Amino acid sequence: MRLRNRPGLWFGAPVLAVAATAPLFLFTNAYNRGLLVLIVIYAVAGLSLDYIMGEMGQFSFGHAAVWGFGAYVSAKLALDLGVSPWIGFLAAPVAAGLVGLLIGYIALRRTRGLELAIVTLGFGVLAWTVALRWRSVTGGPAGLRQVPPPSLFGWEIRSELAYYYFALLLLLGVVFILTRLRESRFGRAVRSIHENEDLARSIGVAATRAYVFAFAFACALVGFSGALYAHHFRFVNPNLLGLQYMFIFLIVVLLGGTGTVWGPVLGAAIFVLVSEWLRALQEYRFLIFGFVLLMVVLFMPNGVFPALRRVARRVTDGGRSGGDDAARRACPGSGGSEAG
Amino acid sequence: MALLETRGLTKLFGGLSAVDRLHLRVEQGDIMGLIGPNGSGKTTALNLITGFLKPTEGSVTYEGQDVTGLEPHELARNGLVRTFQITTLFENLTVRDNILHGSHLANPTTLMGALVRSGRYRRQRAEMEARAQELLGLVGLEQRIDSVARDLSAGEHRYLEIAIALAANPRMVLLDEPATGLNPEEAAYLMDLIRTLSKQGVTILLVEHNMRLITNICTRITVLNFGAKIAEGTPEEIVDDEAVVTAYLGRRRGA
Repeated sequence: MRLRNRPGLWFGAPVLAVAATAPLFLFTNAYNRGLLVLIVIYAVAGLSLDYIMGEMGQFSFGHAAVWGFGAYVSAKLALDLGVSPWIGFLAAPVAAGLVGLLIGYIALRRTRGLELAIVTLGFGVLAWTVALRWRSVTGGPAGLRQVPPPSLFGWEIRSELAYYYFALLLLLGVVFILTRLRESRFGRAVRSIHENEDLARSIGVAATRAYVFAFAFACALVGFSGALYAHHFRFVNPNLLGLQYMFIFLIVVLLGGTGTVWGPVLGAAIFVLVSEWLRALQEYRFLIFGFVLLMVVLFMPNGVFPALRRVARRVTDGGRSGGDDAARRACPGSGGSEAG
Repeated sequence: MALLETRGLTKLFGGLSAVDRLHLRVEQGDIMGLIGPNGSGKTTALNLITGFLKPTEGSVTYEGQDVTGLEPHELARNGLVRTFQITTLFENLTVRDNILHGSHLANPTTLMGALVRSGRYRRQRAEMEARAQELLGLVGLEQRIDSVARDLSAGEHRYLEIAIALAANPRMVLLDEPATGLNPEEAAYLMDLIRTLSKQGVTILLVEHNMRLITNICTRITVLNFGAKIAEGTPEEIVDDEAVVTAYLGRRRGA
């Protein structure tokens, strides 16, 4: 069966069709199209967080801080130096990737798992505090306004529709790269460390180095998402670096399903649309999301996407479906330091 | 010149010496057995040699180079690969992916090749796939290529572990108690497998505490007790050695 050989395609193709035509029916006004843009931005951020969670098997609480940092880099370049947002879209991931290299180099040489989560939380809170206090650079709590939108041949992409298609195209690029990266030598090295670090080292994988680069890659990706945010909403403030967005990204990943490419995309769509639907509830929305997250973790521990995929396989397969690959993510065992 | 040599290798844990001034020589082509009762320091010695532990004192020489304190992946790049006492696989991956992930050092593909899926990349991938099948054929797992590793039997786990080690194209393999948990037939198959590797030119250091297994297959044997070497020689010499018999069985009656 062809679909079996092209995992993700059975889901990707319809999603793409819906995503490409959504502005034509349901999302016809500018406000609703803005929601679509937000979905794409959160999807990229979710995919990058899931690179750390699903591929590396680690967690970073500082991911939103890097996201906000990317947003600030592109916004500052445009506002202070008049640099084109197109350059910003490149500069933000580069800067965020360098920050990721630095954090990764410091944290990943010594820590994994829970310790890494705490260390990155420290970095995140530090970055948020600095952003809040360093008024001359960040604008303090009020942030920076009038970040310019990107322009194409002298024509500014202010329309939600154009920005949406632009962002969607880039999201597809990200999905494509992530899919191909998995099969690459680097992707396999990262995966093997995730599966069993001792074994990976013993067969020649420079584990810490590979993880530092993988972490930096995820940071670059989220920095890019941040730049997309800055030039779309046209303002940045220190809250972008804060834990509120961290939780949003976490919800996006867990809701959709870790370790899959389409999971975070689906998670982003569900999050944005449901939270829009619950808009009247204001902060109480997070109460509901907390509850939904609890239910998902308890009853669909791999997220919505793998659950959907199981159903789809059952349909195409007549119930002879094999194992669920997203579930195969046990913690690495160790066996290297036993005294004989 | 010995392929692998340790000189005065010592590891202290607190005040206790787990390995005590160990001199070990493994010649090219040897199947060297490293045996000793439980707690005699065999696995610690192996961890010191492969870089998973740093020695307190002493040196490790491999291919004439001082490799003391190198990281495991650096040693692997020089052709020195180990397996673990507790079966260590990529449990959640298929047998095929275990080998493909294990082929890190033998993977010639580039990042760009993987991204654009160039013709060269596809060719290299096909070659890796063929090599994986060949390795699985060697260890007798070709029928299990699509199984998830954790569904394999205890014996198959060990065979796959060895195939993963071989995927790194090693010159020397260090096996840490590979027969643990195997039934007699599986253990016999494993020993045949080790002989086959040896015939293909791979030098072997085999850590084991089961003496009967090891005397069948090893060309030379080193015996440890309390971290120190108490005997070295051919299997015939070892089984008659007074100190070895004492260490294993206690004092001989009437001696």
